[in-house]
Formats: sequence, structure tokens, C-alpha cells
Amino acid sequence: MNATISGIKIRGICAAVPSAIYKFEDELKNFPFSEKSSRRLARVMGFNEHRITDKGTTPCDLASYIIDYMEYKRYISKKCVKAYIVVAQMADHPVPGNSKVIHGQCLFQHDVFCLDIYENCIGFITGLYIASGILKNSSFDEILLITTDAGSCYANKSDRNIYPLCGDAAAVTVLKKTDNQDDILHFAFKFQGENRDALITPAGGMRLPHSAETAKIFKDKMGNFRCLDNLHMDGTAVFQFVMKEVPPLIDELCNYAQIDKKSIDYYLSHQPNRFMLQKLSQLINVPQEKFFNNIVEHFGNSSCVTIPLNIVYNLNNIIKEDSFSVCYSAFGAGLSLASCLDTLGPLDFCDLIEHPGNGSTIYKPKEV
Amino acid sequence: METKIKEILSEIQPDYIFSDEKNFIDEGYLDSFDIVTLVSELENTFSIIISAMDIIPENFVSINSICALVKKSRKVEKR
Repeated sequence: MNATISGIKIRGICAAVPSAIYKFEDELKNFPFSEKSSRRLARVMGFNEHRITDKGTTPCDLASYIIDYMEYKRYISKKCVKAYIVVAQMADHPVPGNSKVIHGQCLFQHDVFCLDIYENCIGFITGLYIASGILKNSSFDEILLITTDAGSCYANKSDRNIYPLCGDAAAVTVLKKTDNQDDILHFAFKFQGENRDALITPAGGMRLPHSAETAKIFKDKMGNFRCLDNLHMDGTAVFQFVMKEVPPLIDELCNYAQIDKKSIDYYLSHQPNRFMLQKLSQLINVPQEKFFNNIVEHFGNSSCVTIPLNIVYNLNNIIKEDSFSVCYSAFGAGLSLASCLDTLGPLDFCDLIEHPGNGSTIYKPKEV
Repeated sequence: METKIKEILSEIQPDYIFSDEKNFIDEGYLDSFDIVTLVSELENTFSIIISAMDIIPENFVSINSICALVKKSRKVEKR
């Protein structure tokens, strides 16, 4: 599916990561493999350190903390926010949705529009598409796209395939209406629901509710310990899916948008692991300096937050002064694929902050 | 090349003896993360780049198939 939305631009992005840093070196002892083998794999995959929230901090806490920071910095005014959407795969409660929790935490006005979207790794692009569509057809001038994830609790700490990659983070992206019809977002989405078992948390939903049985730990055929409540990935199937499907999707999107692939300054990809990104950049034939792969090694994979985190971490020094032709691309559970072509920048703000933990929703000055 | 590949395999999975009678994937000698490590070691050892499209289980079932993959990747590099 392709779509084009014009007259919409990203005004700024703020992201937050938990201040607590967990190092792969300290987690080696948890894995049922030799330390030598784990270290060798770490070098290839980019396992280094990741950020994980404490038990008292939820996806909504992370998001509300950023919004408070943005008000402190005068990037936004909470009382002027007219609309926002929240994209997440974890919820503070089964009922009500995250957007209502954030509404209460941030004391937004009663006449705002707010919406929850459940989505996984492609969540930033899905959110961008929906937020742009809402903004385009509304009377207000800005909308907040909140992407937040605290998915690490889905993974078993003894599962070397998943746990070292996990990371928690949130981001708030402000979209604005413009009069410039050259501010265009081109989108492409594809799905392979028939292959959904390749990346799945089998239990915990209505099909297989959580129980003592689903919590029983077993050793899988790869030697990892996990239970049916944990996220499971068929690494080979996901790798093949990404390598076969992502390059043609980007080609198709460039053809649809009539944009020369060579004119794209940066490929801002979802960040699953370094190996997959290196191989993907080789297939797309893009030099490493245009295709960052350093988010997992510093922060872990925070699902729908990796693209905004990629922007604030890697482009912070240049994106406030200049604009660049960029291609966002994401892939993951579903199996799902999404891509978007944008002219990003100059941004009014592009900040990365640390969340102090303990469920804080009030910013106290201390930047990364 | 075969000797070097056997050395790499034994480093990655010291518990198994890698002989050509066995199918390394079906026997469970190599999982997907072992293959990732193996690809990286082969690339560094033989100064090649293995195409992502060639990282499929069938190319890692035996010493012969891994040798063939290295040779194929060398040819692509030379082009």
C-alpha cells in the first residue's frame, strides 16, 4: 500500500532513555553458553549495553516525562496541545489506553483528541502516517506522535537471542502543518500475517491466556531458556524476510515517489541488531555513513522508538541547521514492513534526555 | 580452505565433530546465531563479503557447502 501526504513536516523530536545502563559483560553469566561464544556473538550483533526501565516506570511515565521536559524547554505548551496519538506495544493498563493515562499525567485540556495505536517495530512510520492524516484533515496546526516502549519485560533474561537486544525508550515527535506543498511524506506498507509465528509472544492474550503452565521455563532447540509468556524469534525466518522484502519495498517507494535513490542522504532504519543492518545496507548498496547501525549497542532495540532515537542520537549535530532527504524503514512482528520518504529538518529541537526512574513524570534539569 | 573452515566451526561449536557425513543444520550443530558468527568469521578469515541472500541454512549444512559459499563470495568480490 502506498500513500502520499503533503503539507506536513516534523518540527522537532525529543527522546528519553532510562538512566540505568545494563552491560552485556555483566549479563554473560545468565546465558546457557560459554562466555567466549557469547562474546564472539556480541561483537557481530552489537551487544554492548542497553537501557531498561526500573519496575516502577511504565511506557506512559517515559512519555509524560518527555512532554514535561518539552514544556520546560518551551518547545510546546501542554495547554495548547490539541491532538496526540500514542503508539506502543505495552500498556500501563488493559483499560484505559495509554493515551488516557498520559492525558491525566500531563493534565492536557479536556478538548484534545487522543488515540492509542497498538503497533510493534513499524510503529513510528505507522504513527507518522496516521498522525499526518489526522493533522491534514483537522483545524489544528500541530499533533504529537508519541512512541513508547518498555518491551524488555517480554524477554527472558537467560535468552541470549532476545534479552541483550532489548531496550526501553520513548520519543515525542511534533508534526506541524505547513503551506509548502513540497513538504511531502511518501509511505509504503506491506504485511505477511501468515508468517506471524516467526516473531511472537505466544501467551498472555486471549488465544492463550497467561497461566502457571505458560510461565513454565523450558529449554528451546537453540539452547535458550524461555517460557510461552516470553517473546520468541525465529532468527533465520526474520532475517530472510528482511533481506528479501526491505530492499524491493524501498525501490518501489522511490519509484512511486519518483525520487532517485541516490539522492537520499540518510537511511534511518529500525535497529534490530548490527549484523542485520550491515547486511541490509550492503544489499541496498548504501555506504555505512548513510545507514547508522549503532542504536542497539548503546541503547538496545526499543521497537517503535528506534527511528526517532536514531535521529536524535546520530543527526542531533546537523539536523537543527539543515534539511536532508531521508528514508525511514522499519520491519518486524507481523511480519510487517514500512518505509517513508521525507525531507527532514531543519528541526526546532532534537534532544535526547535520560529518565531518572521511579515512575517520574516531572522533568528535573539534567541533560545527557 | 576446508581445514580452516573446520577450525572455525570447532571454535564456534567445540562440542561437535564437524565431518561431511553429518548435516550440520538437521543435526542441530549450528543454529541461526552460530551461522551469524560463522558468516562473520568467514568474512574476516577469507576477506570476502557474503551476500545476505546467501545466508540461508542450505549453505551451511556441510563443509562442502560452506566451501562452495566461500568460493562463490570470492568470485562476486572479484567482479
